[in-house]
Amino acid sequence: MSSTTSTALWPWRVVTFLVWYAKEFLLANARVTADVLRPRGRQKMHPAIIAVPAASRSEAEWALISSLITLTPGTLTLTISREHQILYIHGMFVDSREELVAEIQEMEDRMLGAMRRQPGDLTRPVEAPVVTPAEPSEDGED
Amino acid sequence: MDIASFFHGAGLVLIFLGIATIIIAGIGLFRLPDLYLRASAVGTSAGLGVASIVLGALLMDFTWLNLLKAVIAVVAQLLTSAVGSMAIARTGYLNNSRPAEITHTDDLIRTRRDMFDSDAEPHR
Amino acid sequence: MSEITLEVALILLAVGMLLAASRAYVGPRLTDRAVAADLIFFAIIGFIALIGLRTQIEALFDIILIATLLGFMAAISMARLGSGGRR
Repeated sequence: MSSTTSTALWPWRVVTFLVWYAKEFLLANARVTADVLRPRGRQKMHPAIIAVPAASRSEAEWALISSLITLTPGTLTLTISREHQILYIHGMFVDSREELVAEIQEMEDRMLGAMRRQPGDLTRPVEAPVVTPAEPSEDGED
Repeated sequence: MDIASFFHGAGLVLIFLGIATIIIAGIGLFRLPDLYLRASAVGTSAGLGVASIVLGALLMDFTWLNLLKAVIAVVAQLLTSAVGSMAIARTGYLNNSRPAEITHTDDLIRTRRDMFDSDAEPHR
Repeated sequence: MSEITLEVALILLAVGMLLAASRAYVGPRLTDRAVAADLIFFAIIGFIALIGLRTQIEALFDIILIATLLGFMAAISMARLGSGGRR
């Protein structure tokens, strides 16, 4: 997905990101609303809290990606760990870890494509590091 | 049908859509089992609900200056409600608000356990 | 907007607000109440918009703009209150 979005011209990437986000936003609203109204026992909720490796670098990118994730109903950024490059996401419909990770990373790829004129560094940490007790206050936002 | 009455009707539809999302979020506050899911349900009315009420009011009382103010209000509402619900959810996690039983994976619990060891008072 | 539509809309908003208020009453935790208070606030924005349209207030959109920013302050202070200043 990043290969298709990052080769396009920058203004075009901004427009496609906005349209794509608006579509996702409306779909997520419909999904959450439908599940609230569904009778108990047939609800499709599979909530989970997942550590998602992220490619954001600057303060603005972290702030925007976590806000955009929270703004989409059904996904909620609980906290971020900048030095480990992890977003901790509470998802409402998580059938598998890979599914949520792919969904969030697609959003981040598109957002970074829209924010950066040059796509630049899009690498992500391969696996979630074990966070040590020595640095308790490093994860909240400043 | 002239353009004014079309705007009027569209505005009414948007306002009632917004009211519906607020009621459904209110139902969700009771039907969903934990803080994080409830915050997700309220998120629908924070974004779509308020935005469609404001845009509906704009269509019923349209001027260009109002358009500018309404757009600023909607953007401010979207950004601030996201930050607000992140802050509340984060506080809930710090205050031991447990995810409901149906939450099948919790990656954050390991980091938090560590935090609570170094952080003397687990505060309820 | 006709009188009857306005009244129906206000009653529906009040229903949503009552649901949120009863969740705020039941709790059980401060953060559950904070989420409910958020929803009450969105209903209040709805009330402002409806009554403002009815009474043709000129400053309606200024009020809405300031209200959205105030709601943010309320949510943040609730969160800070609950966490005791921790992040």
